[in-house]
Amino acid sequence: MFETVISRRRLLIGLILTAVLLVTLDLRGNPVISNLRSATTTVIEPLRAGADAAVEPVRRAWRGMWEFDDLEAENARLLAEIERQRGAAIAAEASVREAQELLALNGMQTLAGLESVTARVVGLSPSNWSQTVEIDQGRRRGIRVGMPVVNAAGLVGKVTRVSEDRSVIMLVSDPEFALAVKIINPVDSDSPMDTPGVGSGLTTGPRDPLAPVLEESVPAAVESGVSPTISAESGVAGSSDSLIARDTNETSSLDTTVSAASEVASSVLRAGLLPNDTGALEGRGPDRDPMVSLVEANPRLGGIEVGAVVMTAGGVTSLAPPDVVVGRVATVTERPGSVGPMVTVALSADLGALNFVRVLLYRPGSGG
Amino acid sequence: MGSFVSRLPFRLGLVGVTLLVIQTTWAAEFRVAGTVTPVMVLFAASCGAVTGVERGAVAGFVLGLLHDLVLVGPFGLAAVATGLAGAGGGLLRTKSLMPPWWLAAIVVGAATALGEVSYPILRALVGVEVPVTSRWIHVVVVVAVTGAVIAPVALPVARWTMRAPRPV
Repeated sequence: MFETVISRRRLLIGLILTAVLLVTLDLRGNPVISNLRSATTTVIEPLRAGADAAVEPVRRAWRGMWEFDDLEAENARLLAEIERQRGAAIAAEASVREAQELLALNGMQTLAGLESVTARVVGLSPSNWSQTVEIDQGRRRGIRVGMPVVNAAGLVGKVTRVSEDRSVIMLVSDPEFALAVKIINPVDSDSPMDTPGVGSGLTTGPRDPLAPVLEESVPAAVESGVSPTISAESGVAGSSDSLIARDTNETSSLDTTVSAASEVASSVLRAGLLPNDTGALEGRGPDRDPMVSLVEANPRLGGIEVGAVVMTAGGVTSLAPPDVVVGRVATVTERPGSVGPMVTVALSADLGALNFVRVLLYRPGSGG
Repeated sequence: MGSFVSRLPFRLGLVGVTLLVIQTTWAAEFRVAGTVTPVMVLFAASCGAVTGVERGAVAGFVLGLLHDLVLVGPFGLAAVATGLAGAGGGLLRTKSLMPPWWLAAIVVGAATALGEVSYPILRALVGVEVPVTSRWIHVVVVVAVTGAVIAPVALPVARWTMRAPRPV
């Protein structure tokens, strides 16, 4: 009995020490472990494809039995949504082209060649504790670890592992996700940005419908030197150095439906692209909105308001280019002391219904 | 002992890779009440239930290492968590050599929940925190129930894999 206890203790200690060694090696960036992970993804991929194919008939039958009514209702709702957005799409497209022409006339850069790769989501997280998806494009298409991933609505996450033909995307909601963001209040608030000379001097015209706002705001922003551009499909809105993402294999993104991103982007145009605050966006799991912490307030521009737009901050050390739409401020909770308010963000992208995403082939400091 | 070394690794590897494929495909897609069924952890608990603490821990550790290869997070944490599940399942053998099937199922379910919940705790220990929310309770309950339900299927497979004697 005593020998058994000793043996058991030795065994458990041995296993724990082995695990500690492996964790240490991995956290120190040992290439053997990352290569092993990449190789595993490549090796089991055919098996996974086979498993998927085997279960496909069952999956279709199951969904046919239980989800048909829901899909029919969703289809009707989406058709109505497309009708509603068609007019806004045309207006947004006209505004973007107008902005590009004005930028070109002023000799300013309109497209920096920020390319992207479209990918299909082929796998969900195999764990309850991490929020990831797997896509069907990898190193072969130029994807590298750290590149930002967006969909039609905005930021989705970042590439966290790459093999030849597969990549794992860490979603914004994952607790390990962190990214520098800026928060921009709407101009029709009590913010001092409404006053002349502060901000970009954008129009304070009616917020709805969307089209008139865009038509007024884009030239105004150009005159002020801010130079905004919008990509309806990529969820990117920004100034002259953050540009419309273009797929390397596809034609212009402007022919597609304007998504929620254009609505958020229009708010940015209205706001004048001058951030009120900056901070780090951090995921908090699938059941809670991400949070912005370490907020550096800019009191001159007023406090953070619910509904303010959250966009990536960019910068030479940030993994994402500036002005990728993230979402809107959902709640602002004041906290005592100097820690600043706790800001939660309602994401523009629906992370629970990802199908196609775009990987922006952006590397910090390279501009694309 | 010779048989353990020569044949068990092959069986464990074969079953482990199969479970890894199931974990990353069916289990990830067909969620039970929004929860991924941790088939690797469940199988480790089953291995423990049919062989004991030591072998269960080793089998769980190996299965966890396989799982670590596809997870995003520090490499080796899933190995410890799954090893814990294997050891937890093995406690059954220290109490009863011939437990009834329903008791084995309950123990496997509980050990699966133990292994599953220990993973985020271990992550927090190395600085990768998972916010504590009511979802933890949801996950633990669902995983425990799912584990207990699937255990009657997993236990015979674990018995074959680990070359454990059949109950009489």
